[in-house]
Amino acid sequence: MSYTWKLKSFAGIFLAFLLLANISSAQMTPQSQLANRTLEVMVGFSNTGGGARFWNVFSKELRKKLPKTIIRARFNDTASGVSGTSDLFKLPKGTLAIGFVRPPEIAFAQINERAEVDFDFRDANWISGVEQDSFIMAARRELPTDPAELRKMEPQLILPVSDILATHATVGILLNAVTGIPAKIVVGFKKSDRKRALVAGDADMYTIAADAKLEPLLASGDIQSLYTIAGSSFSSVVDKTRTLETFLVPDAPKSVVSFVKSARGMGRAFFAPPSVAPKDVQALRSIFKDILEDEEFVALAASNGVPVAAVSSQDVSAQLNELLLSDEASKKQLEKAYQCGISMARGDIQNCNFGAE
Amino acid sequence: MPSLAELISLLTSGGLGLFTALCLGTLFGFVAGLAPGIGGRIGIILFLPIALFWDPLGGAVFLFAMHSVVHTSASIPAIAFALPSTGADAATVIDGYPLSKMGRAGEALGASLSASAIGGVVGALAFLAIIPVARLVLNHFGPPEFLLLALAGLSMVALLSGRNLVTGLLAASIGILIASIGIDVSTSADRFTFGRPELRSGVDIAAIIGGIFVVPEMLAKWSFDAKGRHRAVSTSMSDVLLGMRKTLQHLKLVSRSSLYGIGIGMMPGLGSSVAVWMSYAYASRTSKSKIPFGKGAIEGVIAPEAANNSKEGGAMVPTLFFGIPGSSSMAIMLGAFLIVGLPVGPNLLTSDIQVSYALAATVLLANLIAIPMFFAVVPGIVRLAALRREHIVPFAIALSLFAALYQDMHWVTLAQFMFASAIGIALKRLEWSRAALLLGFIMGPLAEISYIQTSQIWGWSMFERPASLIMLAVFLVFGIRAARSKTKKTSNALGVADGVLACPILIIFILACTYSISLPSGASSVPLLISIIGLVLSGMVSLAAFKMRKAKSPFIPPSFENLRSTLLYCALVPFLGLPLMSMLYVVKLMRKAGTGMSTAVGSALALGIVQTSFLALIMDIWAEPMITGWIYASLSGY
Repeated sequence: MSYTWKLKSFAGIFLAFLLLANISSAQMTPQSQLANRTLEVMVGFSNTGGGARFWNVFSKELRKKLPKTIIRARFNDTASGVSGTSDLFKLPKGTLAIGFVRPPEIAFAQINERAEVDFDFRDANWISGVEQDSFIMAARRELPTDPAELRKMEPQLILPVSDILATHATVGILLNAVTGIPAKIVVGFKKSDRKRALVAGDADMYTIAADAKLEPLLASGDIQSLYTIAGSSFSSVVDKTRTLETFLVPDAPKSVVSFVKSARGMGRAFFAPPSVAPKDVQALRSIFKDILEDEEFVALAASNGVPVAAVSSQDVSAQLNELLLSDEASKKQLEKAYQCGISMARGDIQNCNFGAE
Repeated sequence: MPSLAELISLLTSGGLGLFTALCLGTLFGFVAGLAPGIGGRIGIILFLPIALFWDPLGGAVFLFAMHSVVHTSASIPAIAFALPSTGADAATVIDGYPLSKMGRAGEALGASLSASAIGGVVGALAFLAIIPVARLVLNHFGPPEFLLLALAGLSMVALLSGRNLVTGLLAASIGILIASIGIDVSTSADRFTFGRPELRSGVDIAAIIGGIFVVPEMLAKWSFDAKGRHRAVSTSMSDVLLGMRKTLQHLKLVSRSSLYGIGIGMMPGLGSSVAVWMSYAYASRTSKSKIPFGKGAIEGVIAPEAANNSKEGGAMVPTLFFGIPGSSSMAIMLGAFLIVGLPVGPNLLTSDIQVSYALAATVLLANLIAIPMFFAVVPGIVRLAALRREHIVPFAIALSLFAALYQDMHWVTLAQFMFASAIGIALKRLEWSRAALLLGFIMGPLAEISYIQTSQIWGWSMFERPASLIMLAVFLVFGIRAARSKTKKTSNALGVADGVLACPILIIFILACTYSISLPSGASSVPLLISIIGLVLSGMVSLAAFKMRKAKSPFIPPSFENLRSTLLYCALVPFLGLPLMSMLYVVKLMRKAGTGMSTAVGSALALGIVQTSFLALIMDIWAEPMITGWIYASLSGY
């Protein structure tokens, strides 16, 4: 056998191999990419809230899409999902895992350099966001709408929240600082309790999504919209002339206002930790996109009380980067605003002096 | 109030999911009532994993259907073998068993079945009728009223359960202290977590319930006279129908007993036994029966059975609308609702009113379905009542451990289960109220949150609220009366053993007190307060017990069997996996009870298949090797 023939045979085999490899990769679907593997899911919410409700509906659809993948979910709402996220970031390379969290809460924990945040949330691979809400500051019906009057209100206004680490609590504290309205933050109010407290007059104001559920209360006048915070899809019952900007104190730092808007506009989202291979991330993105854009699924989720609006991975990533405040000056402003908001909530001071710095 | 057709359509529309949950719940309720030593409370824990096959509402429907009929089938062993599952079923034995001995078991069963069904339906209708009133009341309810309600509920339960007032209050304090473990919602400070991130979200409720109730109950030596268990129940259709006719002839008694059940069911802490015995007493006072009570009077079966089932409708009101459980079984139900993911509270009167209607429909329909199910299923499964308890024990413990672990398969959860079991065994041995501990655990956070909200929003001005003042007055009157009657009855009930248990509790409260002082001010108030209360109470028990060390013990403490095997079983689960260890445990205990090897192995295999199938269906770990999968799952936290 001549040397040339051998070379030709080798080249032929090599080409055939390449062709086969190409065919097989062309046939590799996201489903087959993830088949016969275990997908670990960390749901950073309690098993009774809206996050759990969304996951329960979504997971059924996901199981249909990935029939050959084992999906193993755990609820871990410790520190608003920060502990679970930390666990995910420690997984060894190649592990298939995702987290389902509310990113602003984790971003805020990272900015505050809380001890349990031993990861950089920027390294997360975003799969998809599932919500984009339009938020307002809702108020009880008799509350005056003039900011100057609100700043002098006695006794102190009450802003009900679920717990001090929740996004709406953080936003409420920051709003104290940037609007100069010193609301007392009172914990232990679940979502339905907050609405009830406002209608009953036990609380004065809180941030809420201006969705279809709120519309009858706004229309009947049981609750009023004090000002809009984030988003643009408000119905006619919301007074769009009163925006957060019209309530700000003159020296309110732009970075804090921007943080508040991003935090309130950003809903729950799925991410994959750095351990997940880029190919797997792509496969997950593709499957999640299919589900979240499926009209039947959107209708099913809405009927379960969890309205869905898909947000692309790029948009989530951009929103998160905005939240994480890369420059030190903005971080300091945010920290100052937070501490000042807390002091105002406690009734220790009446306003923040941002301009002095 | 929705019509019957609307209620039925609530459970049947949108596929058969809810209706299947209702039917299966009714069937499992029958099984729980029949199986010796299971009953309503333990049945909820054991069958909890099945509830997870549905969405939260489906799971709640399953559990409620189960709980609605458990007393219906519990009357079968009570009447046929004089085996009551609970104190509430004991009233049925007094006249039911003599009737059975007279050859009138069928008649007694028919009367019990129909009285239970009518009682259950009346209870559900009363619950529906109360909804508008509850809505009205709720409009005047804010955190101060919830605080008073939580405190009243806690103290009523502590006062009215167990054999001693102080030990009841001490058990409730322990429950509140355990509930305070985790992140404080107002300051985000860690409380009693000892640096373990797994404890930051608090103690696992399924582990606490299983450990406190199932393990001690199952390991305690069986005290009833087992003779005659294998006697066949001779019932004919005509006898059963005759019994049902007898119930219809006593409609006044049925309605009166049902009202007793509803009224007492609504009052936190009074429990089902009070309702049942009150209606039995009423029946014995007013009956014109030729057969004396205690010798086989049919009214003695009808009255307690009607009250037993109707009280569920009453107990649903405080449990569902205010988050205050009306009884210890409702406290377990409240915990189960948290696990299946159904939030309870005022939302069930407003935004989630449909859930309330669906649960009322569940109670109503489950009681009606129970009648044909009795005829169709009971002849086949009635043999369950004749099962030896020793055969049920290993399954019940393995299933309760499974119920605790399925949500969080971590060794910390296992440790919590074992710790709760140890507490449960100690409390059962000394007859301290375990229900008070559970209520403290469930209602402690509600009381704390309400306290924070009240102090921050109203302060002392809460006493200017008319609703608060009315509630305070009512609770003071009831509380003082209950405390006085309890003190009279049980002032000499402490023994040396109580002091021995109170001493380590005293040390724990001293440590908790010291630790609480170091917490940030917002996070420390409740742990500090409860530690001081616990410290005083445990000190009182220790002193009183040692002062009376010469007095004869007024009760016979139950002893425990198979404790060592159970501890070993729990300890080895993280290493060998739950299904494999459960199978070995079943074989060991069944062999010890004298079962043949083939039966023991067969039962163990059946349990192994059930557990592994559940894991595969719920958690999708079918494809993983059993042992390595569980070691990984147990130790890695995933």
